[in-house]
Amino acid sequence: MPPVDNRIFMDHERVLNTHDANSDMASSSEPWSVEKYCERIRVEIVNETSDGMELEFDLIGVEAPIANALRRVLLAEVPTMAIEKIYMYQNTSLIQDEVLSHRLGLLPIRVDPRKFAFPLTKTIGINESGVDCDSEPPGDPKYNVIFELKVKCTKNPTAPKDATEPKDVFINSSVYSSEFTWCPIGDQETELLPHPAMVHDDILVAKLRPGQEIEARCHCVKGLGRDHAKFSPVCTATYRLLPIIKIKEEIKGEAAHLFQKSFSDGVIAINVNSNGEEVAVVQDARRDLCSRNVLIHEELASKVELSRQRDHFMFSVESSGALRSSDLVVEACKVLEEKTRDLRRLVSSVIR
Amino acid sequence: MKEEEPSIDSIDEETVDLRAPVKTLADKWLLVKAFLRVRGLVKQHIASFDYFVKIEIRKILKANERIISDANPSFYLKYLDIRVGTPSSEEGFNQLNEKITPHECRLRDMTYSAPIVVDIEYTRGNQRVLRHNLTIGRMPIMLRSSKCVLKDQPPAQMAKLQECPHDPGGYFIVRGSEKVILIHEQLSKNRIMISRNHKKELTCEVLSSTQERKSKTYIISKKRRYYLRHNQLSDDVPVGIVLKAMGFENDHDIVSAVGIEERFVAGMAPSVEECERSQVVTQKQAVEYIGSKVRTTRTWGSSSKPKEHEARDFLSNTMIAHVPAVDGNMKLKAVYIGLMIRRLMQAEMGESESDDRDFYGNKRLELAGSLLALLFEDLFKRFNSELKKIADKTVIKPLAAAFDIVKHMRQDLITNGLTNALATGNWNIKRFRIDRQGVTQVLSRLSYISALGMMTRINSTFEKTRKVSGPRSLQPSQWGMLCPSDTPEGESCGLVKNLALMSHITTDADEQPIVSLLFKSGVEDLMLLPWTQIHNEDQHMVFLNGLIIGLTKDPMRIVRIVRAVRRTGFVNEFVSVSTNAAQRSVFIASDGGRLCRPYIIVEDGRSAVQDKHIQELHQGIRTFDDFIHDGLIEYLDVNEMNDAAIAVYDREIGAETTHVEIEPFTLLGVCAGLIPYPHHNQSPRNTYQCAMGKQAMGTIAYNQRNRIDSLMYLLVYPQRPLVKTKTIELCNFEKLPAGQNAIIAVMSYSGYDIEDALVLNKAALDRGYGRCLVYKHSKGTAKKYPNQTYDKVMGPSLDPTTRKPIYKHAVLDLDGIVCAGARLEHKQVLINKHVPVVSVDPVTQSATGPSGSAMTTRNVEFRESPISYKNPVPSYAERVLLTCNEDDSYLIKILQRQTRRPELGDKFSSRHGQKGVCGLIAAQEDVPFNDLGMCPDMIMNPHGFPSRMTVGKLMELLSGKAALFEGRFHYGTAFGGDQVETVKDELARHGFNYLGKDMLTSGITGQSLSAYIYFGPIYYQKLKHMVLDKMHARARGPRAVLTRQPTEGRAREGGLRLGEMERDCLIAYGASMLLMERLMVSSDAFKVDVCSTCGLIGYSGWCQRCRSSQTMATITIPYACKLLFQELQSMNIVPQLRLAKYTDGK
Repeated sequence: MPPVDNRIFMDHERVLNTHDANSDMASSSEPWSVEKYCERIRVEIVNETSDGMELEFDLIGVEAPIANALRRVLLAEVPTMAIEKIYMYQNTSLIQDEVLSHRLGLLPIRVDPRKFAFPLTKTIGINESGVDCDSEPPGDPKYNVIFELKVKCTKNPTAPKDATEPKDVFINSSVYSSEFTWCPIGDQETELLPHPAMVHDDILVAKLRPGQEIEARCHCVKGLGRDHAKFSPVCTATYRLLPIIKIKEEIKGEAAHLFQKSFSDGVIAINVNSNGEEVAVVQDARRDLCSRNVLIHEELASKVELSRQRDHFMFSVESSGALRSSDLVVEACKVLEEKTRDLRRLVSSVIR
Repeated sequence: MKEEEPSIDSIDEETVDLRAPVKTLADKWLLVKAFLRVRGLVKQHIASFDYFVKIEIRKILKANERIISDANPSFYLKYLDIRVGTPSSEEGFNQLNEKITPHECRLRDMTYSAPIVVDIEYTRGNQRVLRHNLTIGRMPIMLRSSKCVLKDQPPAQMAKLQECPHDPGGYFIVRGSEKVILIHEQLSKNRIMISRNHKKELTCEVLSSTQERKSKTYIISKKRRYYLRHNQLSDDVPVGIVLKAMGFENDHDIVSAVGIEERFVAGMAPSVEECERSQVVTQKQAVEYIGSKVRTTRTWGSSSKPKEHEARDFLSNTMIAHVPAVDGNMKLKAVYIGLMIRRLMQAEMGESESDDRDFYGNKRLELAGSLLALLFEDLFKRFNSELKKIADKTVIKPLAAAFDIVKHMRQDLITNGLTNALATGNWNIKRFRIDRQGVTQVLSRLSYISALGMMTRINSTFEKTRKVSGPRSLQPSQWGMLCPSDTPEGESCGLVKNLALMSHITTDADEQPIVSLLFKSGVEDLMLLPWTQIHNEDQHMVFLNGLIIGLTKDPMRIVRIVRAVRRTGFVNEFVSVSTNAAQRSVFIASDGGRLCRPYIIVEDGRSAVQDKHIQELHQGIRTFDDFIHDGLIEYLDVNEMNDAAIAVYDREIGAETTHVEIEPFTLLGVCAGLIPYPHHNQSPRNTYQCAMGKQAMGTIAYNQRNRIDSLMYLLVYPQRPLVKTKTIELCNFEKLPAGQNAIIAVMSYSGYDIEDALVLNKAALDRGYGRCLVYKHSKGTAKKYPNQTYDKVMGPSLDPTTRKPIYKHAVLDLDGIVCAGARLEHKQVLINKHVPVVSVDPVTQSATGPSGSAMTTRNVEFRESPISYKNPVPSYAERVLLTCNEDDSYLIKILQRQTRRPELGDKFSSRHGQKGVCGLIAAQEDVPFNDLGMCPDMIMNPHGFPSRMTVGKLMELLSGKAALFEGRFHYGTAFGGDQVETVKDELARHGFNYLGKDMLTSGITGQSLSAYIYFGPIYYQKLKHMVLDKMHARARGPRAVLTRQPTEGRAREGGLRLGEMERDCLIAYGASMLLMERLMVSSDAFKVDVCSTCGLIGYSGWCQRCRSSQTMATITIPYACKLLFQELQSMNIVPQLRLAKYTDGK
């Protein structure tokens, strides 16, 4: 079935043509071929930060369900390692044990989750009679990464007399994520390269005052974002559709400047035409944030058509630090592949 | 209020008319800040208590300064001075801890009190003795009052004392709990009121109140004759006779006391005639007449006086008691009665309306100080009469040592009287027959705002059951004094009110300077004027606190002078002066309990406060008090406000304007002040928010982690609101916030959001949104008993096989108290206390000495009496406090903590009276997202808007969204704040839709939503109602002892009742077996042996009545039914059961 109009229109009060008939494969009369479909798909990398943590790419020629599946998998089903079990030896800080544990759990950890397996059993913790475990389990190099946090706040003997700021007067008044030390277990020392560490060193974990201390061993496990947001490998993974701004009628003079101001910076340029008049032209529709503010001005609203291309997904993936964004996308595709394989197996078992 | 009002935060230059002489002052709200810095939010409580402790207590002493003995005329005791010392505590016998802090009292369940010390002079034998600093009792001290250790302490010092610098004070700590004496509203005393009684007749009444007496005097009219009615008169007495009895026999005087105008003379004629008819002509006759009517209700006081004395006593002391009869001269009283008759006549002739009882000028607010003064005086009188009794008994006895009264002064009468009254809230004052319940309440510490709200609460003495709307409805005179929004819903709606931000309640001011000022400024003494002058047309009466001071011919001169003198600061700034043209009177008030409020003075169409003053205020050169001293700002009470022309805004100032408002937002109270854009909301929504703001959890005080409260809810990550108000800044809500800024999408989602339900984003909850801490505490005391035994706290019991503590004692430390940090499970013991079986042993105590009782202590039996944890949801023991309390017993407090993440059914609310429960927790990937990839923390159904009309909420979202991108907190101050017009431009400037609507993509299908979604941050409060505290079900469980039926209520693990209506349904349906199962089998089925011949209940197959076992049958009946039969039997009623075989059929 040929696409009716591959655009959705941004009207003043509503979005038109949002229903995606293209993804409705059942009603299609044409026989569907994978090769043909895949041929249409294009992936263009638009931008990648030098550390590879942020990635922008365009996914063109697929329907929303496919793009959305990729987004959903990135958010919830690509595994990462996160602190799951904390063996708190000492916590005399003001912050409560549970709250501290929650904070520690949310810290992003730089360790390749692909080198680990999902934990098979529930982690040892509180036993059946509700009593906390007596001793910390050793941890399995296949499943765990262990970090240790051991901080004690003391008075700073070398502090200047007139100092008032806690960071000058005390040592370790603020506990940052840099305080964690990695404790290798088994052959992790040699196997895990680069060594596991915190992604950021400047995350404030807790504040201490002289005499207070925190001593904890944190066991990380592999998990999914579906289970808890701390396992999500991305800060966010999202897409938006490519905006299309169509000027139906020439906009000149003063109106052109107003037109330019109604869009985000750099979207509209003003050219001088042969008559010496200033004319608004679309320079880079990509940059538009789709505020639709141009529609306020009645005289301009009739001269422009705002729409977005439905099969052009501008993806943005921001990794939380364990893997590079490009790797995450690949991992997500692998998960997706695995899922389809599972589905095929299930469907075929039903058919058979 | 109009939309185009220039914002108070950013003044728009163009709106100011250049021709106008006045320019709108931009930062007038700084005055509000300065006011609150000086007066504080609860200044009224503190000022009232200070007045009591410093001045009124001395007045009370003066009135009761002498104790004399009837037995020995040479004995006397005279109080010279009284003082309240600094807070201290008695630790054991005669050990004084001078360094007691309020927080220590809270933790140790003690009373924060200070000794009341007196200087006395008395006779011991034949000597005159002077004693100083004798303690007669202890006075609970109001926090932050002049006697409190927290008075004027800098924040650093407050932190040392473990006290929150933002805590308002104004409450007491009694036995560890914080008690507030609520403000009580009542009709003002000593004022003439015309009102209609239950028969709709006009009456004139005066409630007189003096230190000694409270009495109510009425003037009524029957058949155009006027009578005086009083509780102590058995019958109404004609006014003519009353006036004659006062010594004014001349009919002309009597008539001219009412008026010299024709209509008043005519009106008095029947009353004068009635005197004649009762043959009362002379004073003597009149006094005899009254003497025959006076009720003698003397209970104690032995001598019965002759009737004439009773009558004279009644006239001079009881009737209109507040009007003095100096040296027996009753002219003032006579004039007063004449005036009462005149007012009644005027009302009857339709010249004036009856007085409005709901008008705030006729109301007085009673505060902690005056209530305590009443109580203290009562106790002090009891204390003195007790001393007198002892003196009477002992002075006559010949003793070796001379009688020393000091040895008989017992402190506990006053101490216990005060603390008990504060602890229970029962105010019993026998003298005035006052018996009020619920005067004090426990300070609600759910949130900082709830504590503040409680301090400004006003209770009306009006009954809640009466169905009259008058006292409940909003009174126009409430403007600026009481918050129009903050009142509860339901039965006490409109009766419980709250003070507005800037209102102040006066305390009594000295009358003497005002009296002399009045006389100096041309008021003529009433005593010197002839009767005919009193109601002369060009004479105006001058009243001071309801008393006639004198007459003047130029009332405006008096008003001008009093105002001028007040503005210069020579008389108290709270003195008010107002006029009444119809009554030709000038009223001056200096009494306590009036509501008043500061206003900027306007002179010649020009606001007295100018830019330079504000500048000086800003620089800190000026304080609020300077504005008052310089005559730029003055306090107006409700009565004086009626004489003033007050402009709300500077630009409204006209030629006749006398004052201008400081800031209009101050007409709201603290609770309503938290609402952004309240002037755009439907008014009941603001009222709902006022109630809900008090249930929001967040932070309580800076010392919250040091407190051990019985219940405390805290938010793990509280935030300041993005859209704030000036009130929020002024009351420090930003520093102790209660809520979080949530990103809201206003859209329909999943269907689990109908009826105000909210959809929460699971990832937001994972990251800590709405996470809260719940603190509870358990308490145990280890006492010592009179028989030398004491409670013991024992270590854990060990399991004999494993040598480990048994489950119940698993969390106990070796000392028998739970260890800090332990996880507490259901039914585990927190304090393993053991109590001696025999604790009272009078025989040992009296018969043997301490050595003998020590013998018995050795083999005392102990019984377990543990304090255990009862909650199926585990908690952690955060802290254990081991201390001793005032009774010298050990006190153990254990603070327990739970951390909770929001779950289905938890209640949330925005600041616009829009509450909702969580209906669904959606996964992040399922939730819609905008072009930036942001997904909402909460999804709210748009159906919440049309019927509620909370436009303020829409505006909050818009301003909040702009605040995010501008990097500046926005204001939603009432009648001001950031305007939508500017906010929408800010949004557009940052590339967002100017309407605040974003284009969202469905997280489930991945396609764009066909509607634009209103999307942005709104400050949400998590309310204390959580599913975890409410959910309840029972399969089997405990039963009540008496009826053997399941217990009731969640706390007792009770069953869910199948009530009579449910029962009716089952009967109607015919489900008899289900009914049987519900009502008997699952409840209290009981097998009884019934004798089929006599029909009585037997036992073990034996009928005691028939002495046989042959006729017994066993049936099953509810135990409650069996109980009923036995109870009937005990009342000599014999219920007999007629038995038949089930199979016998019809």
